[in-house]
Amino acid sequence: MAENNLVVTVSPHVKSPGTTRSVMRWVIIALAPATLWALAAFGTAGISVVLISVITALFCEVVWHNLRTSKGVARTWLALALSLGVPAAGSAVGLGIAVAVATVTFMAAFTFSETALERRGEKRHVFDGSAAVTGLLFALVLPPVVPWWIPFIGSFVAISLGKEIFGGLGFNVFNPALVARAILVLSWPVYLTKGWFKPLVADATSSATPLTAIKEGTLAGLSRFYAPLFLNNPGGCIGEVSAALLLAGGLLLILAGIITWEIPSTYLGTMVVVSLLVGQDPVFHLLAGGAMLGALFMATDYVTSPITSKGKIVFGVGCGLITMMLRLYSKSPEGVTSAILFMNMLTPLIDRSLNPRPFGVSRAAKGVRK
Amino acid sequence: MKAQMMDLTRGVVLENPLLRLMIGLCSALAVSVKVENALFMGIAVIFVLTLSNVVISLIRPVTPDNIRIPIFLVVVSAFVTIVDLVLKAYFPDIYARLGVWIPLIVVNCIILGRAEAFAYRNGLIASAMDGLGMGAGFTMVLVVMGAIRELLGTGSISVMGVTLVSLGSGFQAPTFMITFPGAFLTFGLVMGGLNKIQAVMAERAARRATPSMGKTASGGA
Repeated sequence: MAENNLVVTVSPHVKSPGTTRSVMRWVIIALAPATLWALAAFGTAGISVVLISVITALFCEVVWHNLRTSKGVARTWLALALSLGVPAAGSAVGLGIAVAVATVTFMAAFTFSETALERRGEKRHVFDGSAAVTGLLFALVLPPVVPWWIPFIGSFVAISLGKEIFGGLGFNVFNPALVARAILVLSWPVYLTKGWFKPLVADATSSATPLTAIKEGTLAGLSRFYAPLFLNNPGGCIGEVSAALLLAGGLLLILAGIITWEIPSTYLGTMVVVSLLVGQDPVFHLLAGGAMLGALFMATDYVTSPITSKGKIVFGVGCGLITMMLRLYSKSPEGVTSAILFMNMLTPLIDRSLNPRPFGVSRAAKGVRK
Repeated sequence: MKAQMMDLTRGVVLENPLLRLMIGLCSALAVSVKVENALFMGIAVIFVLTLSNVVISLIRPVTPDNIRIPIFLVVVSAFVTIVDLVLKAYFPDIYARLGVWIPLIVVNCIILGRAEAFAYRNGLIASAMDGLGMGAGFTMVLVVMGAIRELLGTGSISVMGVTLVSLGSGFQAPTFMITFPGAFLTFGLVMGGLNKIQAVMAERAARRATPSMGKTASGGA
């Protein structure tokens, strides 16, 4: 009788009702205001970048999933070959936008049919939402005016080289969206560092972003950028139009318990301290560029950031320091991507060296055992 | 005879210096930016590796154990100097492009590693075979990596001024592939590809070996 009440299980004993799907749904909800606001600002240019990026990400996820589980392998290879071959051939002939529309439609149809088939059978995998989040985040760190194949190749790289090649969600070392951005910046710097809308006036392209002003030596009077950066600044990546909406989304995630406060606050706090130390405008540094998007949505990625609270603080401080170091002393105006990727690399090390003391083990004993 | 064949072929796949032993990587990552560079580097390494293996194997009886590494280095650097001067005299363009990597063959892990691990413990023929095989394995991987990186990174492959493959003028080459991160990525993908092929082959071999039961059953039916 008593045995029925005595359940012996291995840890973890405290379980959360959250699933990957629910977490990803929250992230998409939190990103929605900033994304929609950006799409309103950039019009069709922004919408096509986001659509191509998200659909390509979902498509790649379906392809990898099918190849891994040996489901419809021939069909999947055919789809992959078509999705890469058609745009390559089309671009060579110079068909431009028609090819883009055809490819994306084809990929969306394949993704939809595969997922619909999957629903009848085994565990759902593709629409756990992680691929959609990766695709969306990648689109948000692109300039609004880019050739259509930039989000296409970028999303392909993010899912394939950033995530699936390591074994899928949970095994990737680096944030997939940022891996793609880093590779694309090295590959086609022309497209990734131009194509901005003009700050303050949303009508021209190929102009410098507010952060570039600092590199050019403008240090005084940066407060004139505060209001536009906070609410509506088209001079930057798609996701960086409004710092306020990103901040609201991040707060929502913290309140919903999806992310914790440690990484964003230490990341942004370190940036404030460093900019005060070197005598630059801290508010400007927080609002400009990818700091908000990076600190709230990229650095807090579960898979690639430390688990423990102490580890998260070290991670956030490291990100902040490297970001400021790159902004102040490197050639490029922004350093959020490199900073987060670098700290992603250190995450396993941080987790191992800040291993919490198990309950009941004395400090001395833990030290000895090490 | 079979043992000698084994010495020759071992370096190509089973103990490929780059993909399996993972030695000599730094020069491989740096040189694999162009097929042409990769070919010349490979030939230089085959030459140095084979001849230094032969000489080290020959002088085994008179080599004092305590100072064997300096002696190996003297032998290796003699052959590297020959390669260096020949390239400088007959292929000045390629010599300029390979730059410091030719003199650095002296300290290439593959050559010292094979000298210490193989030539110092084996006979003349076996050492020569080992040098040829290891050099061939090195060259093969280098050329494959060079082809991938040159084709994607510049849009075409050209050897000695002849364009072999071109992706057309519409192709906007990702310059990432000819940078160092691209070298690491290519190396990882080539190694992953070989692992995958070997895993699939092993699985097929296992399937062929074990299910004799299933075969007889189907044969009976």
